[in-house]
Amino acid sequence: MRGSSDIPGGVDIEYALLPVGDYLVFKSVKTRTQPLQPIKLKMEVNNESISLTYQGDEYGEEAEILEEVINILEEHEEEGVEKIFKSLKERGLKVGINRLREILKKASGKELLEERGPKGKRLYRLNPAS
Amino acid sequence: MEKVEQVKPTLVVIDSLIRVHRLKEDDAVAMSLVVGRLRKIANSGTTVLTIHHHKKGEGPLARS
Repeated sequence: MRGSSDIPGGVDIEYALLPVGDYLVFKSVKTRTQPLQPIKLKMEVNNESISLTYQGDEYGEEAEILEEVINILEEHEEEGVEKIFKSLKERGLKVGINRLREILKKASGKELLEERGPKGKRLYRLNPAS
Repeated sequence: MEKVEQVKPTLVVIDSLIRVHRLKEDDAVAMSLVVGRLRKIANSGTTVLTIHHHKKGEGPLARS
């Protein structure tokens, strides 16, 4: 946001409309209630009008990475963080290893199951209950 | 503020923030004054919706 941090600091709720790829994403930045699920909007401009059309929910980078982790684990059954990290890199997805650890931890018990390997290494597999 | 007290609107839309003051946006003291005025309107029972722009060059479509 432009200017002093006193501007967003003084408001109760802040929403942002940001360009992401071919879309505009409308999302909550600051809220005292439950945040909005970000939504994608497409802006079309012609000689007579400008229109914004709803294009569905925006799931963002985290969902994209998790989806690819699921694809990896469908192929390899069980993997450690470093191998998942390497596979994501090979598939062209850039994510820091600590960020990946956070995503995997967050998905544990939901989409994924976390187990400990022989040296205490964290191993991930798909949760059959998911 | 006087007008707001007189009309008592449900919603005031400020489009955009820069059009209602002549102070420096990057000056915290100046901006706390501006936000304080808006807060006063909000505290009187009127919802205040303010449009504020991102920096030029911010975001993935930004030009360098």
